[in-house]
Amino acid sequence: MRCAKVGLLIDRYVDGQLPPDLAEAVGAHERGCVRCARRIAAARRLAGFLGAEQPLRAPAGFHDRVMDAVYREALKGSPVERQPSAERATTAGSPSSRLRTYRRLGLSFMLSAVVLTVSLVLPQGLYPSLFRPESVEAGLSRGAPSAVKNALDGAGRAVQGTLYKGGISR
Amino acid sequence: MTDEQIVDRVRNGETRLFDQLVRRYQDPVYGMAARFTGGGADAEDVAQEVFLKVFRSLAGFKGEAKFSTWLYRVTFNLCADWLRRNRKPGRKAVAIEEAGEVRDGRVDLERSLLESEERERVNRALASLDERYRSVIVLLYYQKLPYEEIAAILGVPVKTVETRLYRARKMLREALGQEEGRGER
Repeated sequence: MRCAKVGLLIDRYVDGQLPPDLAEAVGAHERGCVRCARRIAAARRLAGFLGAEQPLRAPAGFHDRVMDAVYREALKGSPVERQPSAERATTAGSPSSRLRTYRRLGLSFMLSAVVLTVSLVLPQGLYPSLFRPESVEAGLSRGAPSAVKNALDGAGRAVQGTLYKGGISR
Repeated sequence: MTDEQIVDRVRNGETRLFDQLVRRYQDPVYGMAARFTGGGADAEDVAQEVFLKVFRSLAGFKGEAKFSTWLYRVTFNLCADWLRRNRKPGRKAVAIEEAGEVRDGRVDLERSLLESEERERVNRALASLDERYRSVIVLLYYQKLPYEEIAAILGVPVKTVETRLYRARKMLREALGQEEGRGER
C-alpha cells in the first residue's frame, strides 16, 4: 500500500472503521513507514483531544431564564397561531380571544370614521367654492356630461319614489 | 415520557411540560452554541433563542425526524446565522472562552486540562474552521452523534459528512502544524 492511499484511510483507521484486511494493510504500512507512522500518531492525538473533551454544561439558572422567556412568549404571543387548527376552535371563544376581537372591531370603526371624516371634510376645506349649490348647478347647465345629468335625475326620481311608497309626500 | 409525547402535550396547551425538554437538552444545546460562538453570553443568547424558536415552531413539528434531530438542526441553523452576523473581515476565529465561565464554575481539574497549550491550540484551530467543517467536528466529537444523525441534522448525505470530516481533520492537523507532508513512498 502506498502513502497516498494510507493518507486517505488514516481517519477511518484511527476510528476503527476499516475492514480488518484493510486495517491490517495500513498497520503493516505504519510499521514500515516512519512518515505515515507520524501522521497516524498525529491523527490519534487529534482524535484523542477532540474525543476526550468533556461536554459543556449550561450556566446556572439557564433553564429558569429559558422558561421565563417561554412563559412570556406564551402570554404575549398568540398561542392560537401556534396551535393546530383543530385546537384553535376550542380557544376561539375564550375571554382573551373575544377581547382581541372587540379590540380589532373597535379599531376598525375608529379607522373608518377617520377616513370618512377626512374624505368629506378635507375636500370642502380645500375647495369650498366647488361645493356651493350654485356652483354645482352652474356646472351642470354649462354642459356637464349628459351621463352625469341622467344619473342625478335618476337618483332624484328614485328618492322621490321611495318617499311616496313610504306614505310620505312633499 | 418520550420527547414526542411531551411535544404533543405542550402543543395541547401544557406549556409547563416544555420545562422537561429544556432540562433534557440544555447542556447539549448550550454546548453546541458555545462551540460555535465562543461561549459566554453569546452562547447563552443563542441557546435561549433555540428553545424559544422550537417552542414557537412546535406546531410545525411533524415527527418525521426525531425531536432531538430537529432540535439540533435548529441549533445548528441559529449558530450558523450567528457566525454569519458576527464574522468580521479579517477575523477568522472565535476562540472558546475560559473554561471557568463556560463550564459553570467547574474550574479545578477540567480548567487545568483546558489551559494546556495544546488544547487551546485545538480550540483555536477548531474555531478557525468554516462552519461546514466545524459543524461535523462538533456534532461528532462533542455531541457524540452518529454519522447518520449528523447527516439528518445538516440535511446532507452521509457520504458528505464523511468527506467533510476528512477535510475538517486535515485542516485541523494543518492548523496545528501536524501535517507531515505528502511525500510518496
